[in-house]
Amino acid sequence: MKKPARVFPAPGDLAVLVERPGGLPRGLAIAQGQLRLDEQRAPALAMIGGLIETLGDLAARQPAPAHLPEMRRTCDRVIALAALYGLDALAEAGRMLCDLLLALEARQTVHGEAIAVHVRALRLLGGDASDASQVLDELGRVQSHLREGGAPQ
Amino acid sequence: MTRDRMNLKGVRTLLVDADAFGASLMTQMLHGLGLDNLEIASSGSEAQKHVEAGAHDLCLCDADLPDMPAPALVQWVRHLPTQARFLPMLVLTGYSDFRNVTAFRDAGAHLVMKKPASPQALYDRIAWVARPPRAFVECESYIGPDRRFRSVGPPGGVPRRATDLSSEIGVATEPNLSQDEIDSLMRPMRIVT
Repeated sequence: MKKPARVFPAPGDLAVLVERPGGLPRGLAIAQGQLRLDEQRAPALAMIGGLIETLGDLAARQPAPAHLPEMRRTCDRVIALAALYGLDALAEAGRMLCDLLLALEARQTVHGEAIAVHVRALRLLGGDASDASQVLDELGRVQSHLREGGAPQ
Repeated sequence: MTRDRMNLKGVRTLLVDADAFGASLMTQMLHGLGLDNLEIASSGSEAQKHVEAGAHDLCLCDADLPDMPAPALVQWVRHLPTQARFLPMLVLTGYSDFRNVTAFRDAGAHLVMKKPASPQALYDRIAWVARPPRAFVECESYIGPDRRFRSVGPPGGVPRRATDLSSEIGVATEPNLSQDEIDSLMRPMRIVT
């Protein structure tokens, strides 16, 4: 016989704890968090550069389908860090590479050239984002080409 | 939900993140927000040890764990025989992991948040998780916070019972009640005769 569902108030202190007197006003807490984040900007940018190099190394080694999840996870980290530090074009290029890697993973295939183009775009945008819209347009064109039958081999 | 003020001092928080740099950034941000009682686990199994060893008020868990899928960790917590199974869990996903949002939800996570976890987003999500506790549901297929936020009527194919309220409530004919008016309806008052 099926066990009946139980719905009951969950015990827990968190709601009470955050209501205690004291603490920080929202604006101040967020400003302090942002300040701490800003202090880590230089190491974060260095980390992004390192992650892009890792992606470049993986792409240069003729990746197999088994390498795609690792590349995607690395790309996820680039996106998260870039978006956190306002590097929007870099984050967008990262999302495009992630979409490509997800599509390749689903098909269990690899398209080395398309991956390499995206990694080059990440390198470009990681250094200088002045031509960002043009670079992103070009990546969009690569993706449209792949969608329209330029299927990865 | 935004909250004007929160006291996060002493809130026992478990941060699960395999990425050392990501964990250090998160730690910095959380300290900035006022959260000073932080334990860090770098894998799912390490997180399990922390949960078994001590009580926590909040868990922030990265979706990408090296040794187990994050939904498995959430599910493990929910099946504990101790009070730890009620631990509020906020899962942080990367761009590509967010497509698995239903897996985290079905495992019993309180909230799934897509990175980047900016200080503002983190503050507001923690405030949301820290609302007065949501009801908890325990049934064969699910253990976790009640996911129902609105009444959507009976599921497809289930007929309405005679005692169910009508789904036709018509168009509002008067403006909504203000919060004060609602409060006054709830407040018990002595009737003076």
